Amino acid sequence: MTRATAVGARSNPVEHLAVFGGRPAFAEPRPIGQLFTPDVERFLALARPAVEQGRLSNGALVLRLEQQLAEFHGVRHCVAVANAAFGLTMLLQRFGRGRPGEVILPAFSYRGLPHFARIAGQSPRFCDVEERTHGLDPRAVERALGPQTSAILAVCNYNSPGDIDGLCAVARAAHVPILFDSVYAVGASYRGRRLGAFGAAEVYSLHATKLLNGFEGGYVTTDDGNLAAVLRWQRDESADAPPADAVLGTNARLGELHAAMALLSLESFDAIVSGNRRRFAAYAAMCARLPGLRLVPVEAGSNCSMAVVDVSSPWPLTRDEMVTVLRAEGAAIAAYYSPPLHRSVHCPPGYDVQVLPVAERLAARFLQLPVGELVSLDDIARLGDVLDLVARRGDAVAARLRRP
Amino acid sequence: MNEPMAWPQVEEAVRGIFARRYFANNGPLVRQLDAGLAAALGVGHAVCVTNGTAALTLLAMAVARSGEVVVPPDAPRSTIDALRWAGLVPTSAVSASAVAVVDVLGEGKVAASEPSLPLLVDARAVSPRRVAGLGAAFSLESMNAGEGGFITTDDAALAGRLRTMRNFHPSETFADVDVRTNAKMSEMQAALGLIALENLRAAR
Ligand SMILES: Cc1ncc(COP(=O)(O)O)c(C=O)c1O
Repeated sequence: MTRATAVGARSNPVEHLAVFGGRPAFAEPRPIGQLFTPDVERFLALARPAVEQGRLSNGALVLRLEQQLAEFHGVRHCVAVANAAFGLTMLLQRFGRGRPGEVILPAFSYRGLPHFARIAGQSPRFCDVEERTHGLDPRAVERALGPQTSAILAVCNYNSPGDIDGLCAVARAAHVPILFDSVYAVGASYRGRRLGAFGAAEVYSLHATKLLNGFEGGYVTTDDGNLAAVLRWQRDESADAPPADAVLGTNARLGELHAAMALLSLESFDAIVSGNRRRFAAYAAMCARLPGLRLVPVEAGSNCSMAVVDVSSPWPLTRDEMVTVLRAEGAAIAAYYSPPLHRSVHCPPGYDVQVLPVAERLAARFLQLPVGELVSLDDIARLGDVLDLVARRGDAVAARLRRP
Repeated sequence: MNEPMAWPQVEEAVRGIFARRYFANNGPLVRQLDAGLAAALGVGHAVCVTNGTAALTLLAMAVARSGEVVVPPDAPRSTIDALRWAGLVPTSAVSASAVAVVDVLGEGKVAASEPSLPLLVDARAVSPRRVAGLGAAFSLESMNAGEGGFITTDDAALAGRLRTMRNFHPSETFADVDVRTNAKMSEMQAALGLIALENLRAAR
């Protein structure tokens, strides 16, 4: 049954929305992650020798992955790790040099970041972001810098790498290391150079929901050979003496089978990004006819791994009401980076919370739409039908949702 | 180099993962391994994580975030560092600011005993078993299953904290905790763990 006939079958069209008891648009949830799935036979062929030789760690597949990723990013060193959380935490621990200090990070970002700073023995210092790039605002960073600062953790988002030059200049002037969490910016470029070698290091994720699927996993890219050696020592829990004072070792190894999966994803990078761009274009066309829903634009070269809409007047529903309506339809969506970190449960107890106006404004308005391999262009059309109905019957939908 | 696993079992598990397209995030195999390990070892709870060292850090972090921890005088650096990551200061003498005692199994290393303090066990070097103490950290490598680890405990509240601390997901939040991280085990890791657990059962 198509949606159109279903709508006609009910006397009150708004009852057709799943939130009011109608049939959901999607029987299976439509996720907000990439979930790239390589050909299973090819994965089995890569995995079999590792399994049969009992070499599930420290093998040829991780080395090959590191080599290929270093080439892909145009950097000297790539250190594969168990996940991006390990990579970020190890770097922040190294930059902390065994002393308590502060890590400057964006308030409008991933909820894990303040935790990684704390596990590294540091305190997070939340800074405001830029309206357009959603990345750290260099002027805010400048104001937050002080003798207590141990590192700047900047984030390159899916839509824009942010003001990398501005941030690096501020970091250089203060003699503070800067690292980039480029988890969502795989393949993006800044001033004509592919991301990978900016700052002291960049960190990427190989989590299944990210562009390159390694089940779980991550990697660090850097041109700094000394830093790469420190990271390898931290990762491999080596019995050798530490390469620098006050660095802590752990086990952050990426398994061979995870590396096999990531190798197959990397091989399909172009196809993955093309699929993302087709979906992104479909969302752009959809939003163009829906007043009050603006698809957040991306810079050229973006991998389009997310589709985020800015919900504002004259759209009849609030962003949070939209989350409720679309979740009921089977879209496994969420508000984007909301609440901002300094006003969330991820802010450490006792933190001196300041108003960060841009982060707070963005966090109140943005909604993530379903993306990735499990979302077809038909699915996007279906979602468009739901949104058309909401747009047409906005007052009725809003009234019914807000009924006590 | 480890004793190899039987390929047909691995192949079947991989096909299942690809068919479900459920690769990570506390999926069905991780839940099965959590439950299977607890049942096989006769412990209240097993919490699977990235690897055995992450298991030790997470366990320590779930018990205390500051203070001294009593370790054997010749404890390996990997034990010491795992505890330092938790924010603790390893020492070999019991003091007033000690918050826990850690024993290291497999190398005959025992810390100064202090019955009033919780006992944590670094059991990464031994095959999984039931051990005395509040909680123990194990490695899947000891079962020839590659990277992976888990914590065992009979304490339900501690298990809830650990399950919360190993990820950030609101639906996987069971307790109020001070810090969280990504220490999730993948479905691929869990698949190997389940095969190794089956082999362990068969060998007994
Ligand atoms: C911006 C950002 N950084 C870091 C991470 C952590 O990545 P991983 O899951 O590999 O630990 C994530 C994961 O969602 C992320 O979104």
